[in-house]
Amino acid sequence: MGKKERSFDAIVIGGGHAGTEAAAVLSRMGHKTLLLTHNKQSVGQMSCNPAIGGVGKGHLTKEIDALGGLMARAADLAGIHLKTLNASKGKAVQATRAQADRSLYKQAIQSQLKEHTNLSLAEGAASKVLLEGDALRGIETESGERYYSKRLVLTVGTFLNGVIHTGREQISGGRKGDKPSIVLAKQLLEISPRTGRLKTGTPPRLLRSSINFGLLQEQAGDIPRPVFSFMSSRADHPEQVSCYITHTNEETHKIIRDSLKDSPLHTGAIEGVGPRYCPSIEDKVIKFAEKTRHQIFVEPEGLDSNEVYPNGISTSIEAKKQEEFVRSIVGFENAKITQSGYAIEYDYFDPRDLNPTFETKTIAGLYFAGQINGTTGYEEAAAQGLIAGINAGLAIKERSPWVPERSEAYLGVLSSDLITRGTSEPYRMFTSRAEHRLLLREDNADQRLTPIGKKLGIVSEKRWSAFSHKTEVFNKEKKRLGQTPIKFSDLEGLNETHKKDNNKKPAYDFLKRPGVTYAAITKTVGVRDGYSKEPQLLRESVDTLIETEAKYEGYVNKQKREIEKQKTNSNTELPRDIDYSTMPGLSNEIKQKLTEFAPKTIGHAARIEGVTPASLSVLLVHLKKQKMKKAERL
Amino acid sequence: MNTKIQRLSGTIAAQSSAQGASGVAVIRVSGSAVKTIIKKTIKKELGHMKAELTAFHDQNGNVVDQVIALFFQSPSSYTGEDVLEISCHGSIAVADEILRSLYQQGARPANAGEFTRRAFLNDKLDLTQAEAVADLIESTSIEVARAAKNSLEGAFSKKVFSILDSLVELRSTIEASLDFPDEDLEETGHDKRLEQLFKETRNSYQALLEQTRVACKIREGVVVAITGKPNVGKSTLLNQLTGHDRAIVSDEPGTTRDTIEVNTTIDGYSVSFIDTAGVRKTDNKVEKEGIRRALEATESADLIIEVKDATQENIIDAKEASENHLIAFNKADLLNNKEEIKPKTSNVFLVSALEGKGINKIVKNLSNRFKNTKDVELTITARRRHLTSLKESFESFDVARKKEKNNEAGDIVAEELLQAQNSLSEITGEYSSEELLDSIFNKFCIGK
Repeated sequence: MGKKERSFDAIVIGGGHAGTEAAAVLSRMGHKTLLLTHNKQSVGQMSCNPAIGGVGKGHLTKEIDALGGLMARAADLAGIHLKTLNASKGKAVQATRAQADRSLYKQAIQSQLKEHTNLSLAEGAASKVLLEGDALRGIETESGERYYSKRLVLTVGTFLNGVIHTGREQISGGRKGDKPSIVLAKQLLEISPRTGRLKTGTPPRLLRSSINFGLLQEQAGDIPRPVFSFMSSRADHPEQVSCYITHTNEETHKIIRDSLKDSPLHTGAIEGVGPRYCPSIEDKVIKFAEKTRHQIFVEPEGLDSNEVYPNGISTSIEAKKQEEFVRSIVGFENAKITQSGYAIEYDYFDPRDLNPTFETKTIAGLYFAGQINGTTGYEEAAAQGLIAGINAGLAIKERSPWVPERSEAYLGVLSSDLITRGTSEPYRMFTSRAEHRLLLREDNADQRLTPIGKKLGIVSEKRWSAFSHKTEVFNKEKKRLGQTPIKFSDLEGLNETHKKDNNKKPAYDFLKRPGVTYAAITKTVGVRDGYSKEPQLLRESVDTLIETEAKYEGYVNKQKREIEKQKTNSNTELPRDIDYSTMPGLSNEIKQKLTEFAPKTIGHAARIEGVTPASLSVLLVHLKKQKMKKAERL
Repeated sequence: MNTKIQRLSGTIAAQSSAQGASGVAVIRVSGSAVKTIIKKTIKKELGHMKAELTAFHDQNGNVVDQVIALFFQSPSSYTGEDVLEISCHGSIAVADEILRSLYQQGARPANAGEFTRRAFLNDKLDLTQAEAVADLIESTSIEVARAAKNSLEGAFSKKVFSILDSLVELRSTIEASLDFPDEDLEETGHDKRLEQLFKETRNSYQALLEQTRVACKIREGVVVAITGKPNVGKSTLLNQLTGHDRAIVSDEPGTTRDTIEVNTTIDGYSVSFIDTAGVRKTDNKVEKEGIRRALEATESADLIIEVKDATQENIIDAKEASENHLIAFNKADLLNNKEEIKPKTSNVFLVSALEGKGINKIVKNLSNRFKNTKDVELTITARRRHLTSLKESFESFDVARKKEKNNEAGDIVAEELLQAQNSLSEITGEYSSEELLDSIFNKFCIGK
């Protein structure tokens, strides 16, 4: 090996889901990038449950894909059980989920990274950020190696003050096997002093061959299989397997209740706040005592893996008791635990101390992304890595930042929630967090974001031409249906009330009504030109998009009008040096909140709980007054 | 949608001349929907700054009044936006009907100082004026908050919050099924429970809307409820206060079997007196109904005058009296030792309704309340806004209910319910997605 390269346009620390997306997008933007990881083998590792996507998370994954990211493509290459969730509950909440083969997933991430020409990988544990005053210079590793760059994306996960609990046992450390870095931690605390403590847990892993699958309820994947990435096809999917469902019972609950006295949750050993949507089995048994059973999803770890992941029984009671309660469950009577469940506590940095680009407010060029910001989940981490990477890349090019809007993408919901409100539990995406949910669908993720990706220079030519082709087919078809008048009586299989209205109207208008499918319309007006020659997935995605756009048109237009109306006020910036404490007309509570959250715009301020419309009005007037005074002085 | 930002924008309308009866009332409308509103209500084109005598139509096309309409094209207007000024006949009813129509056609009630704020933000004022505006906005934001609170006290608020609770329950059940499709939530008996809840909520909305509509009619001024035990002389006092023999007076307990409402003006301000049926145990159906209404009117009144029999009760004990709860000890004419029992506080009165003595002091007390007329106007505006919000909320709710019934997609039903709740947030304060998640996690055991 020749002389080691030391200087980079950007350095990304950490090879998890945030780090890999950040490194990949930086290199797609043409920047010479270093990905520094403690272990090259573990790049792209799924350290928790072996699944990608789900409601909200699938939306994020598709958005990352629309911007040329890695995650969706890897989920296709590793997806051994694919499902569309909420198929009957409306397109806005419909979501894709894949059970992934852990090793295939890791491989898929690593091989995608290899295709990125400007990207180097180095092993080493970061130990110190190199600073000259407030100016960022690079990073030093534990072995004393130095790498130089003015942009640093830190995606170091749960390394800060990590403690692992199993029963009364405690081990200091990050994820299993990772060494915490005390110097770096101390330094980062100086840069971003506000922290909080969180908790998360894992279930015991079980030996596959020790489970009696015959007693479990089998759940097969969907046919036809959904596909995650715009650039994938069904042929990319590996062999498919089933998931299984079983339940805890009263006996299980009794064993758990009896072991609580030694549970770190109850001895007070755990202070961190756990996610309410992912409680430990101890929490479930206590809080919902009236429930006689809880569901367990038995998820495959991989095609060749000898383990399964029993999702739903994350626990930190002592190992012996874990085995006892596991064996009280139907199908697990002879189960062997290959690795006990445990709870991990860690500190996160308050994301309110970040700019909407995920750059720290104190050190220019230093970005935080992923679990370090108080989120949980691979998709949430990847999303932040992508946004941080894009903005680091834009900053290198001296271009203005890209901050996705809440009405534009779940990426925007995620970043604005974190930056304006912070979080008090591990933050996970839910579709109910989006006030423009009907706009932010999986089926239009590419329509919403690929054109932006093109402008940012982060989507490949191949993707762009495929996207442009799809858009052309869609527009042409929409136009055709808009110009083809039909009568209701022409349509088959509709109820009689519909048929009473028998004026001729464009076929597209009929598609807007509930219950009228695209298939029913094309039965009457015929299929579009070249339909039989279109690749299967293109055909499916255009069909879906046409129908959904028509069905949601009224709502979408209404929301767009409202967004437009609000834009002027929302985007009014609040200067960084604004002093709320002296501003008359604001209550003390609101002054305090505004000072604590330091919102960037009126729109951000509006998202802070307790800030009233009247106080926003006071802010607008104050800003204007300042501006006028300034103008007068000039 | 960010409802807080929404409340900073939109087309606004309000009476810009003083509230209350006067020769001419001026109503001002400002915002991007002004031209559409002109099309619908004036039904002809208006030139910039050309006053026109014309008919004003309500949403059903009926003529409300002959008005003088004056249109200002943006940016050459007071606010810098499109502005319509309507001068109508100065009766409260006419001005009110015009405002109602404007709210139906896309305007919303303006907040205090909002026209001036817009003028300021659109560069229509200079710095000196701006300083004044800033002060005004600062002071009115406090007053508006107080007025909104006043308008929210009592039964109305309780009922709105109970509707809010139902909305939250509906939403959390539906949202839980959307965001957590894997959980086995079916044991909560989803569909039947939802159907029942939709039905109950609809009834609550309709009952409250009906009540509020009635209340709003008499609520263009101050509402004073006259309460007290049977036969203490409530009706006689009412007659004295209003100068009419509106209530039937007799010495038989239970004569007033219905709530009687009399409108009068004090210092040009509208005051509605409500004479409540004596509250007592009775088997008479008509009287029972009267008592029920009495209790309801008392709950929604701005001010209560409780009448007590001075010959039966001790003035010294009248500790419950307060600024909004006056106590009149009646039948002073029957007392021998009047001098010894002079009321100690300004909220307690010794009167003789029969002889008309001591009544002036009560009238004076009422008229003092109008000295700070702004408060009254703000309260009235707040009430109007609340009714508008409630109506909008119900409309979205009912769309959700119908869609759920027709088995339409859950995301659309959820969207309508979100809108319904957003509309209520004007009254109830904001409700964040975080609070919704709280409600979901408290109700359902989520987490596979």
